[in-house]
Amino acid sequence: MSAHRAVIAGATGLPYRRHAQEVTTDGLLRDVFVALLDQVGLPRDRIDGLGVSSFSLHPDTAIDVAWRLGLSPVWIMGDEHGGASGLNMLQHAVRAVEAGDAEAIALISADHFSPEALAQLNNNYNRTVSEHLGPLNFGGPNSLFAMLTQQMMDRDGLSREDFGRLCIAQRDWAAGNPRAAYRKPLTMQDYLTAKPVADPLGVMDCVPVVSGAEAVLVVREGLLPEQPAIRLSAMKALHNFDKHEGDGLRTGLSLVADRLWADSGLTPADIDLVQCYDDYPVMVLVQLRDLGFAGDMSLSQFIADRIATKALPVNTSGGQLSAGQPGAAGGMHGLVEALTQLRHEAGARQVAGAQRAVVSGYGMVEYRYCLCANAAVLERVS
Amino acid sequence: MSITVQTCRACGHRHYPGLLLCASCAGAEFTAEEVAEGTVVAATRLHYQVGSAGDAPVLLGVLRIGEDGPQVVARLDRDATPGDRLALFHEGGMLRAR
Repeated sequence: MSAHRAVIAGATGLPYRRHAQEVTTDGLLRDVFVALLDQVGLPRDRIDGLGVSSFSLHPDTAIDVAWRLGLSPVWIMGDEHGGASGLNMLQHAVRAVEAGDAEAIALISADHFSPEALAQLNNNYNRTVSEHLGPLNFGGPNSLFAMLTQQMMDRDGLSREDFGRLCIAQRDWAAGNPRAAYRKPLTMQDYLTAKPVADPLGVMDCVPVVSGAEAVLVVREGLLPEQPAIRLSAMKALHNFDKHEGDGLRTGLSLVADRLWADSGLTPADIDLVQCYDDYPVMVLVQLRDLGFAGDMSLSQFIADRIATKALPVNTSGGQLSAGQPGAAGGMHGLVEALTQLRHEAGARQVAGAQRAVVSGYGMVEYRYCLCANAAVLERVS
Repeated sequence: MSITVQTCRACGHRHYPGLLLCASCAGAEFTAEEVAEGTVVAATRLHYQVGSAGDAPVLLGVLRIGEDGPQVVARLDRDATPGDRLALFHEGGMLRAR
Protein backbone atom coordinates (compact mmCIF):
# COMPACT_ATOMS: atom_id res chain seq x y z
CA MET A 1 0.00 0.00 0.00
CA SER A 2 1.36 3.41 -0.94
CA ALA A 3 2.10 5.83 1.87
CA HIS A 4 0.41 8.70 0.03
CA ARG A 5 -2.00 9.22 -2.82
CA ALA A 6 -0.94 11.30 -5.77
CA VAL A 7 -3.21 13.46 -7.90
CA ILE A 8 -2.60 15.59 -10.96
CA ALA A 9 -3.59 19.11 -9.91
CA GLY A 10 -2.36 21.27 -12.77
CA ALA A 11 -1.93 21.17 -16.55
CA THR A 12 -1.21 23.95 -18.99
CA GLY A 13 0.75 24.90 -22.08
CA LEU A 14 1.87 27.81 -24.20
CA PRO A 15 0.42 28.73 -27.60
CA TYR A 16 2.14 26.83 -30.41
CA ARG A 17 3.97 29.12 -32.83
CA ARG A 18 5.25 28.43 -36.35
CA HIS A 19 8.59 30.01 -37.29
CA ALA A 20 8.84 31.76 -33.92
CA GLN A 21 11.53 34.41 -33.65
CA GLU A 22 13.43 35.50 -30.55
CA VAL A 23 12.38 32.39 -28.67
CA THR A 24 14.63 30.03 -26.69
CA THR A 25 13.96 26.62 -25.22
CA ASP A 26 14.99 28.01 -21.82
CA GLY A 27 12.54 30.87 -22.13
CA LEU A 28 9.70 28.51 -23.09
CA LEU A 29 10.47 26.28 -20.11
CA ARG A 30 10.38 29.30 -17.79
CA ASP A 31 7.15 30.65 -19.24
CA VAL A 32 5.30 27.35 -19.00
CA PHE A 33 6.61 26.73 -15.47
CA VAL A 34 5.35 30.17 -14.37
CA ALA A 35 2.01 29.52 -16.10
CA LEU A 36 1.68 26.25 -14.16
CA LEU A 37 2.37 27.98 -10.81
CA ASP A 38 -0.13 30.71 -11.71
CA GLN A 39 -2.77 28.16 -12.60
CA VAL A 40 -2.69 26.45 -9.20
CA GLY A 41 -1.55 29.37 -7.03
CA LEU A 42 1.50 27.61 -5.65
CA PRO A 43 4.69 29.55 -4.84
CA ARG A 44 7.83 28.48 -6.70
CA ASP A 45 9.53 27.25 -3.54
CA ARG A 46 6.84 24.64 -2.85
CA ILE A 47 7.89 22.71 -5.98
CA ASP A 48 10.19 19.95 -4.73
CA GLY A 49 10.40 17.77 -7.83
CA LEU A 50 11.25 18.54 -11.45
CA GLY A 51 11.01 16.51 -14.64
CA VAL A 52 12.18 18.00 -17.95
CA SER A 53 11.84 16.77 -21.51
CA SER A 54 13.44 18.55 -24.46
CA PHE A 55 15.46 17.77 -27.59
CA SER A 56 16.94 21.25 -27.89
CA LEU A 57 18.32 21.74 -24.37
CA HIS A 58 21.76 20.23 -24.97
CA PRO A 59 24.22 20.39 -23.36
CA ASP A 60 21.98 21.30 -20.41
CA THR A 61 19.99 18.73 -18.45
CA ALA A 62 17.15 18.92 -15.93
CA ILE A 63 19.41 20.08 -13.11
CA ASP A 64 20.63 23.06 -15.13
CA VAL A 65 16.99 24.01 -15.67
CA ALA A 66 16.33 23.59 -11.92
CA TRP A 67 19.18 26.00 -11.19
CA ARG A 68 17.95 28.56 -13.70
CA LEU A 69 14.44 28.35 -12.22
CA GLY A 70 15.78 28.68 -8.67
CA LEU A 71 14.54 25.26 -7.58
CA SER A 72 16.06 22.95 -4.93
CA PRO A 73 14.43 19.65 -5.88
CA VAL A 74 14.49 16.45 -3.81
CA TRP A 75 13.50 14.51 -6.97
CA ILE A 76 14.64 15.12 -10.53
CA MET A 77 14.52 13.44 -13.89
CA GLY A 78 15.20 14.15 -17.54
CA ASP A 79 13.44 12.24 -20.26
CA GLU A 80 14.28 12.24 -23.94
CA HIS A 81 11.86 9.52 -25.03
CA GLY A 82 10.04 11.87 -27.41
CA GLY A 83 6.43 10.87 -27.93
CA ALA A 84 6.54 8.59 -24.88
CA SER A 85 8.24 11.11 -22.57
CA GLY A 86 5.13 12.73 -21.13
CA LEU A 87 3.58 9.53 -19.83
CA ASN A 88 6.96 8.16 -18.81
CA MET A 89 7.59 11.20 -16.60
CA LEU A 90 4.03 11.04 -15.27
CA GLN A 91 4.45 7.39 -14.31
CA HIS A 92 7.65 8.14 -12.39
CA ALA A 93 6.29 11.30 -10.77
CA VAL A 94 3.12 9.64 -9.51
CA ARG A 95 5.11 6.76 -8.00
CA ALA A 96 7.54 9.23 -6.38
CA VAL A 97 4.71 11.15 -4.73
CA GLU A 98 3.04 7.92 -3.63
CA ALA A 99 6.30 6.80 -2.05
CA GLY A 100 6.71 10.10 -0.22
CA ASP A 101 9.88 11.03 -2.10
CA ALA A 102 8.38 14.37 -3.19
CA GLU A 103 5.08 16.18 -2.76
CA ALA A 104 4.83 18.66 -5.63
CA ILE A 105 6.46 17.65 -8.92
CA ALA A 106 6.43 19.91 -11.96
CA LEU A 107 6.86 18.13 -15.31
CA ILE A 108 7.81 20.57 -18.03
CA SER A 109 8.74 20.19 -21.67
CA ALA A 110 9.59 22.60 -24.45
CA ASP A 111 11.36 22.76 -27.78
CA HIS A 112 12.33 25.39 -30.30
CA PHE A 113 14.13 24.60 -33.57
CA SER A 114 15.36 26.47 -36.58
CA PRO A 115 14.75 24.56 -39.85
CA GLU A 116 18.48 23.76 -39.92
CA ALA A 117 18.42 22.47 -36.33
CA LEU A 118 15.41 20.32 -37.18
CA ALA A 119 17.14 18.79 -40.21
CA GLN A 120 20.18 18.14 -38.00
CA LEU A 121 17.96 16.38 -35.42
CA ASN A 122 16.14 14.36 -38.10
CA ASN A 123 19.40 13.03 -39.53
CA ASN A 124 21.05 12.38 -36.15
CA TYR A 125 18.16 11.28 -33.98
CA ASN A 126 20.18 8.34 -32.70
CA ARG A 127 23.21 6.38 -33.87
CA THR A 128 21.17 4.07 -36.11
CA VAL A 129 19.62 7.03 -37.87
CA SER A 130 22.90 8.89 -38.29
CA GLU A 131 24.72 5.79 -39.58
CA HIS A 132 22.01 4.10 -41.65
CA LEU A 133 19.30 6.60 -42.59
CA GLY A 134 20.96 10.02 -42.67
CA PRO A 135 23.37 8.93 -45.44
CA LEU A 136 20.36 7.94 -47.61
CA ASN A 137 19.12 11.53 -47.50
CA PHE A 138 15.91 9.96 -46.18
CA GLY A 139 14.31 13.29 -45.30
CA GLY A 140 13.46 12.46 -41.70
CA PRO A 141 10.67 10.20 -40.50
CA ASN A 142 8.21 11.23 -43.26
CA SER A 143 9.54 8.60 -45.66
CA LEU A 144 9.42 5.83 -43.03
CA PHE A 145 5.83 6.58 -42.04
CA ALA A 146 4.85 6.95 -45.69
CA MET A 147 5.85 3.31 -46.17
CA LEU A 148 3.98 2.25 -43.00
CA THR A 149 0.92 4.13 -44.24
CA GLN A 150 1.05 2.39 -47.62
CA GLN A 151 1.34 -0.98 -45.90
CA MET A 152 -1.70 -0.24 -43.70
CA MET A 153 -3.68 0.94 -46.75
CA ASP A 154 -2.90 -2.31 -48.57
CA ARG A 155 -3.59 -4.54 -45.59
CA ASP A 156 -6.66 -2.86 -44.13
CA GLY A 157 -8.16 -1.65 -47.39
CA LEU A 158 -7.89 2.03 -46.46
CA SER A 159 -8.04 4.89 -48.95
CA ARG A 160 -6.53 8.35 -48.89
CA GLU A 161 -10.04 9.59 -48.06
CA ASP A 162 -10.09 7.47 -44.86
CA PHE A 163 -6.96 9.22 -43.60
CA GLY A 164 -8.44 12.50 -44.82
CA ARG A 165 -11.53 12.01 -42.66
CA LEU A 166 -9.30 11.56 -39.61
CA CYS A 167 -7.28 14.70 -40.40
CA ILE A 168 -10.43 16.73 -41.08
CA ALA A 169 -11.95 15.64 -37.76
CA GLN A 170 -8.81 16.69 -35.90
CA ARG A 171 -8.80 20.07 -37.68
CA ASP A 172 -12.41 20.47 -36.67
CA TRP A 173 -11.42 19.99 -33.03
CA ALA A 174 -8.53 22.44 -33.49
CA ALA A 175 -11.00 25.20 -34.38
CA GLY A 176 -11.89 25.25 -30.66
CA ASN A 177 -8.28 25.32 -29.47
CA PRO A 178 -6.74 28.81 -29.28
CA ARG A 179 -3.29 27.23 -28.79
CA ALA A 180 -3.41 25.40 -32.12
CA ALA A 181 -1.28 26.66 -35.02
CA TYR A 182 -3.85 25.63 -37.70
CA ARG A 183 -7.54 26.24 -36.97
CA LYS A 184 -9.14 26.92 -40.36
CA PRO A 185 -11.44 24.10 -41.54
CA LEU A 186 -9.80 21.49 -43.76
CA THR A 187 -11.79 20.16 -46.72
CA MET A 188 -11.31 16.78 -48.37
CA GLN A 189 -10.25 18.67 -51.48
CA ASP A 190 -7.57 20.52 -49.45
CA TYR A 191 -6.40 17.21 -48.01
CA LEU A 192 -6.25 15.28 -51.28
CA THR A 193 -4.55 18.06 -53.26
CA ALA A 194 -2.04 19.08 -50.59
CA LYS A 195 1.61 19.19 -51.59
CA PRO A 196 2.98 15.62 -51.79
CA VAL A 197 5.70 14.87 -49.23
CA ALA A 198 6.45 11.16 -49.49
CA ASP A 199 3.96 8.93 -51.32
CA PRO A 200 1.25 8.39 -50.18
CA LEU A 201 1.66 11.19 -47.60
CA GLY A 202 0.86 14.80 -48.35
CA VAL A 203 1.66 17.79 -46.24
CA MET A 204 -1.61 17.42 -44.26
CA ASP A 205 -0.41 14.01 -43.02
CA CYS A 206 2.75 15.52 -41.56
CA VAL A 207 2.94 17.51 -38.33
CA PRO A 208 3.88 21.17 -38.68
CA VAL A 209 6.86 21.86 -36.44
CA VAL A 210 6.21 24.59 -33.87
CA SER A 211 7.85 26.16 -30.86
CA GLY A 212 5.85 25.31 -27.78
CA ALA A 213 5.78 24.06 -24.21
CA GLU A 214 3.64 21.93 -21.89
CA ALA A 215 3.48 21.47 -18.12
CA VAL A 216 1.81 19.13 -15.62
CA LEU A 217 1.77 19.23 -11.81
CA VAL A 218 1.64 16.05 -9.72
CA VAL A 219 1.02 16.57 -5.99
CA ARG A 220 0.26 14.70 -2.79
CA GLU A 221 -3.52 14.46 -2.44
CA GLY A 222 -4.87 17.30 -0.33
CA LEU A 223 -2.05 19.75 -1.08
CA LEU A 224 -4.21 21.77 -3.49
CA PRO A 225 -7.80 21.03 -2.40
CA GLU A 226 -9.30 23.79 -4.53
CA GLN A 227 -7.93 22.31 -7.80
CA PRO A 228 -9.71 19.57 -9.77
CA ALA A 229 -8.07 16.28 -8.76
CA ILE A 230 -7.25 13.81 -11.49
CA ARG A 231 -5.98 10.35 -10.71
CA LEU A 232 -3.72 8.10 -12.75
CA SER A 233 -5.99 5.04 -12.62
CA ALA A 234 -3.79 2.77 -14.69
CA MET A 235 -0.56 3.04 -16.64
CA LYS A 236 1.24 0.55 -18.83
CA ALA A 237 4.29 0.71 -21.05
CA LEU A 238 5.93 -1.82 -23.33
CA HIS A 239 8.90 -0.67 -25.36
CA ASN A 240 10.70 -2.61 -28.11
CA PHE A 241 8.07 -5.36 -27.80
CA ASP A 242 8.95 -6.94 -31.14
CA LYS A 243 12.73 -6.31 -31.08
CA HIS A 244 12.11 -4.07 -34.11
CA GLU A 245 11.53 -7.15 -36.25
CA GLY A 246 7.83 -6.53 -36.94
CA ASP A 247 5.93 -4.54 -39.53
CA GLY A 248 5.54 -1.39 -37.44
CA LEU A 249 1.74 -1.57 -37.64
CA ARG A 250 1.44 -2.78 -34.05
CA THR A 251 2.91 -1.37 -30.85
CA GLY A 252 3.58 -2.83 -27.41
CA LEU A 253 0.16 -1.50 -26.44
CA SER A 254 -1.39 -4.48 -28.20
CA LEU A 255 0.16 -6.74 -25.53
CA VAL A 256 -0.54 -4.60 -22.44
CA ALA A 257 -4.00 -3.20 -23.27
CA ASP A 258 -5.83 -6.02 -21.46
CA ARG A 259 -3.91 -5.34 -18.26
CA LEU A 260 -4.39 -1.59 -18.63
CA TRP A 261 -8.16 -2.06 -18.79
CA ALA A 262 -8.14 -4.63 -15.97
CA ASP A 263 -6.12 -2.33 -13.69
CA SER A 264 -8.44 0.59 -14.38
CA GLY A 265 -11.61 -1.45 -13.97
CA LEU A 266 -12.91 0.23 -17.13
CA THR A 267 -13.50 -0.68 -20.77
CA PRO A 268 -13.13 1.42 -23.94
CA ALA A 269 -16.88 2.09 -23.79
CA ASP A 270 -16.43 3.95 -20.46
CA ILE A 271 -13.94 6.46 -21.89
CA ASP A 272 -15.04 10.02 -22.66
CA LEU A 273 -12.03 11.00 -24.81
CA VAL A 274 -8.76 9.60 -26.17
CA GLN A 275 -5.53 11.39 -27.00
CA CYS A 276 -3.10 9.35 -29.14
CA TYR A 277 0.35 10.51 -30.15
CA ASP A 278 -0.25 11.67 -33.71
CA ASP A 279 3.08 12.03 -35.45
CA TYR A 280 1.21 10.60 -38.46
CA PRO A 281 -2.44 9.58 -38.97
CA VAL A 282 -1.43 5.95 -39.45
CA MET A 283 -0.10 5.80 -35.91
CA VAL A 284 -3.31 7.21 -34.43
CA LEU A 285 -5.13 4.25 -35.97
CA VAL A 286 -2.48 1.79 -34.79
CA GLN A 287 -2.71 3.00 -31.18
CA LEU A 288 -6.52 3.09 -31.16
CA ARG A 289 -6.66 -0.44 -32.55
CA ASP A 290 -4.02 -1.74 -30.14
CA LEU A 291 -5.96 -0.26 -27.21
CA GLY A 292 -9.18 -1.94 -28.33
CA PHE A 293 -11.15 1.13 -29.37
CA ALA A 294 -11.88 -0.16 -32.88
CA GLY A 295 -13.34 -3.42 -31.54
CA ASP A 296 -14.53 -5.60 -34.40
CA MET A 297 -14.98 -2.71 -36.84
CA SER A 298 -12.85 -2.31 -39.93
CA LEU A 299 -10.60 0.72 -39.59
CA SER A 300 -12.43 2.45 -42.43
CA GLN A 301 -15.77 2.02 -40.66
CA PHE A 302 -14.23 2.98 -37.32
CA ILE A 303 -12.96 6.26 -38.79
CA ALA A 304 -16.26 7.07 -40.49
CA ASP A 305 -18.60 6.03 -37.66
CA ARG A 306 -16.63 6.92 -34.53
CA ILE A 307 -13.83 9.43 -35.24
CA ALA A 308 -15.27 11.61 -38.01
CA THR A 309 -18.61 11.89 -36.17
CA LYS A 310 -16.82 12.71 -32.89
CA ALA A 311 -18.85 9.92 -31.24
CA LEU A 312 -15.43 8.99 -29.86
CA PRO A 313 -13.58 12.25 -29.22
CA VAL A 314 -10.03 11.63 -30.49
CA ASN A 315 -7.24 14.21 -30.27
CA THR A 316 -9.55 17.00 -29.17
CA SER A 317 -6.81 19.65 -29.26
CA GLY A 318 -6.58 19.08 -32.99
CA GLY A 319 -3.64 16.85 -32.19
CA GLN A 320 -0.19 17.68 -33.38
CA LEU A 321 -1.40 17.38 -36.98
CA SER A 322 -3.34 20.63 -36.52
CA ALA A 323 -2.01 22.18 -33.31
CA GLY A 324 1.63 21.61 -34.24
CA GLN A 325 4.52 19.43 -33.14
CA PRO A 326 6.69 21.10 -30.50
CA GLY A 327 9.55 18.55 -30.49
CA ALA A 328 9.80 16.61 -27.24
CA ALA A 329 7.00 18.74 -25.78
CA GLY A 330 4.80 16.81 -28.20
CA GLY A 331 5.24 13.95 -25.76
CA MET A 332 3.10 15.89 -23.27
CA HIS A 333 0.65 17.29 -25.86
CA GLY A 334 -2.04 14.63 -25.50
CA LEU A 335 -1.56 14.37 -21.75
CA VAL A 336 -2.09 18.11 -21.20
CA GLU A 337 -5.12 18.09 -23.53
CA ALA A 338 -6.69 15.15 -21.65
CA LEU A 339 -6.07 16.88 -18.32
CA THR A 340 -7.48 20.17 -19.66
CA GLN A 341 -10.63 18.32 -20.71
CA LEU A 342 -10.90 16.55 -17.33
CA ARG A 343 -10.42 19.92 -15.60
CA HIS A 344 -13.35 21.17 -17.75
CA GLU A 345 -11.19 24.01 -19.01
CA ALA A 346 -11.26 23.15 -22.73
CA GLY A 347 -13.58 25.99 -23.76
CA ALA A 348 -15.22 25.63 -27.17
CA ARG A 349 -13.91 22.08 -27.63
CA GLN A 350 -14.92 20.85 -24.16
CA VAL A 351 -16.28 17.29 -24.13
CA ALA A 352 -19.32 17.74 -21.89
CA GLY A 353 -18.90 16.25 -18.43
CA ALA A 354 -15.60 14.52 -19.26
CA GLN A 355 -14.59 12.25 -16.38
CA ARG A 356 -12.37 9.57 -17.92
CA ALA A 357 -9.66 9.81 -20.54
CA VAL A 358 -7.08 7.58 -22.18
CA VAL A 359 -3.74 8.96 -23.33
CA SER A 360 -1.22 6.99 -25.34
CA GLY A 361 2.36 7.79 -26.19
CA TYR A 362 4.44 6.53 -29.09
CA GLY A 363 7.89 7.58 -30.10
CA MET A 364 11.59 7.18 -30.77
CA VAL A 365 12.30 6.17 -34.33
CA GLU A 366 15.01 3.55 -34.36
CA TYR A 367 15.33 2.28 -37.92
CA ARG A 368 11.99 1.54 -39.58
CA TYR A 369 9.53 2.72 -36.91
CA CYS A 370 9.40 3.74 -33.25
CA LEU A 371 10.37 1.70 -30.20
CA CYS A 372 8.41 3.27 -27.35
CA ALA A 373 4.73 2.90 -26.46
CA ASN A 374 2.79 3.65 -23.30
CA ALA A 375 -0.74 4.44 -22.23
CA ALA A 376 -2.58 5.82 -19.22
CA VAL A 377 -6.14 5.91 -17.94
CA LEU A 378 -6.94 9.18 -16.16
CA GLU A 379 -10.03 9.86 -14.05
CA ARG A 380 -11.35 13.00 -12.48
CA VAL A 381 -12.01 12.24 -8.80
CA SER A 382 -13.18 15.68 -7.58
CA MET B 1 27.79 -6.70 -54.97
CA SER B 2 26.53 -7.43 -51.50
CA ILE B 3 26.01 -6.09 -48.00
CA THR B 4 26.76 -7.72 -44.67
CA VAL B 5 24.27 -8.59 -41.96
CA GLN B 6 25.12 -9.65 -38.42
CA THR B 7 24.51 -13.35 -37.78
CA CYS B 8 24.43 -14.89 -34.30
CA ARG B 9 27.09 -17.60 -33.94
CA ALA B 10 24.90 -19.54 -31.50
CA CYS B 11 21.48 -19.57 -33.16
CA GLY B 12 21.94 -18.08 -36.62
CA HIS B 13 19.48 -15.22 -36.04
CA ARG B 14 20.28 -12.29 -38.33
CA HIS B 15 20.21 -8.58 -37.52
CA TYR B 16 20.51 -5.36 -39.48
CA PRO B 17 21.72 -3.02 -38.08
CA GLY B 18 23.84 -5.12 -35.70
CA LEU B 19 22.97 -5.44 -32.00
CA LEU B 20 25.00 -5.93 -28.81
CA LEU B 21 23.23 -9.17 -27.89
CA CYS B 22 21.25 -11.48 -30.17
CA ALA B 23 17.57 -10.47 -30.21
CA SER B 24 16.61 -14.13 -30.17
CA CYS B 25 19.01 -16.03 -27.86
CA ALA B 26 21.04 -13.25 -26.13
CA GLY B 27 24.24 -14.62 -27.65
CA ALA B 28 27.15 -12.17 -27.80
CA GLU B 29 29.20 -13.62 -30.65
CA PHE B 30 28.45 -12.84 -34.24
CA THR B 31 29.71 -13.36 -37.74
CA ALA B 32 29.29 -11.08 -40.73
CA GLU B 33 27.23 -12.70 -43.46
CA GLU B 34 27.17 -11.44 -47.03
CA VAL B 35 23.78 -11.08 -48.65
CA ALA B 36 23.26 -10.05 -52.25
CA GLU B 37 19.57 -9.28 -52.58
CA GLY B 38 16.33 -8.45 -50.86
CA THR B 39 12.62 -8.42 -51.59
CA VAL B 40 10.80 -5.10 -51.60
CA VAL B 41 8.28 -4.80 -48.74
CA ALA B 42 7.40 -1.13 -49.21
CA ALA B 43 8.62 1.82 -51.25
CA THR B 44 8.10 5.56 -51.37
CA ARG B 45 9.02 8.55 -53.47
CA LEU B 46 10.20 11.41 -51.28
CA HIS B 47 9.26 14.74 -52.86
CA TYR B 48 10.25 17.25 -50.27
CA GLN B 49 12.63 17.61 -47.35
CA VAL B 50 12.46 20.01 -44.42
CA GLY B 51 15.39 22.38 -44.08
CA SER B 52 17.18 21.13 -47.21
CA ALA B 53 16.89 21.55 -50.94
CA GLY B 54 18.30 18.01 -50.98
CA ASP B 55 18.33 15.89 -54.09
CA ALA B 56 14.61 15.15 -54.05
CA PRO B 57 12.81 13.29 -55.42
CA VAL B 58 14.45 10.36 -53.68
CA LEU B 59 13.27 6.75 -54.00
CA LEU B 60 13.43 4.75 -50.79
CA GLY B 61 12.40 1.23 -49.95
CA VAL B 62 12.25 -1.38 -47.23
CA LEU B 63 13.58 -4.77 -48.35
CA ARG B 64 13.47 -8.09 -46.54
CA ILE B 65 16.53 -10.33 -46.56
CA GLY B 66 15.49 -13.90 -47.34
CA GLU B 67 12.19 -15.35 -46.16
CA ASP B 68 12.31 -14.19 -42.56
CA GLY B 69 15.48 -12.15 -42.28
CA PRO B 70 15.94 -8.53 -41.23
CA GLN B 71 14.30 -5.68 -43.13
CA VAL B 72 16.65 -2.97 -44.41
CA VAL B 73 16.01 0.58 -45.59
CA ALA B 74 17.74 1.40 -48.88
CA ARG B 75 17.90 3.99 -51.64
CA LEU B 76 16.27 2.55 -54.73
CA ASP B 77 17.88 3.10 -58.12
CA ARG B 78 14.48 2.67 -59.82
CA ASP B 79 10.77 2.55 -59.08
CA ALA B 80 9.89 -0.72 -57.39
CA THR B 81 6.80 -2.38 -56.00
CA PRO B 82 6.33 -4.91 -53.19
CA GLY B 83 7.56 -8.34 -54.20
CA ASP B 84 10.32 -7.10 -56.50
CA ARG B 85 13.70 -8.72 -55.85
CA LEU B 86 16.55 -6.23 -56.02
CA ALA B 87 20.32 -6.46 -55.68
CA LEU B 88 21.70 -4.78 -52.53
CA PHE B 89 25.04 -2.98 -52.43
CA HIS B 90 26.90 -0.18 -50.71
CA GLU B 91 27.99 2.80 -52.75
CA GLY B 92 28.79 6.38 -51.84
CA GLY B 93 28.21 5.62 -48.15
CA MET B 94 24.67 4.49 -48.94
CA LEU B 95 22.86 1.19 -48.82
CA ARG B 96 21.38 0.96 -52.31
CA ALA B 97 19.14 -1.43 -54.23
CA ARG B 98 18.71 -1.96 -57.95
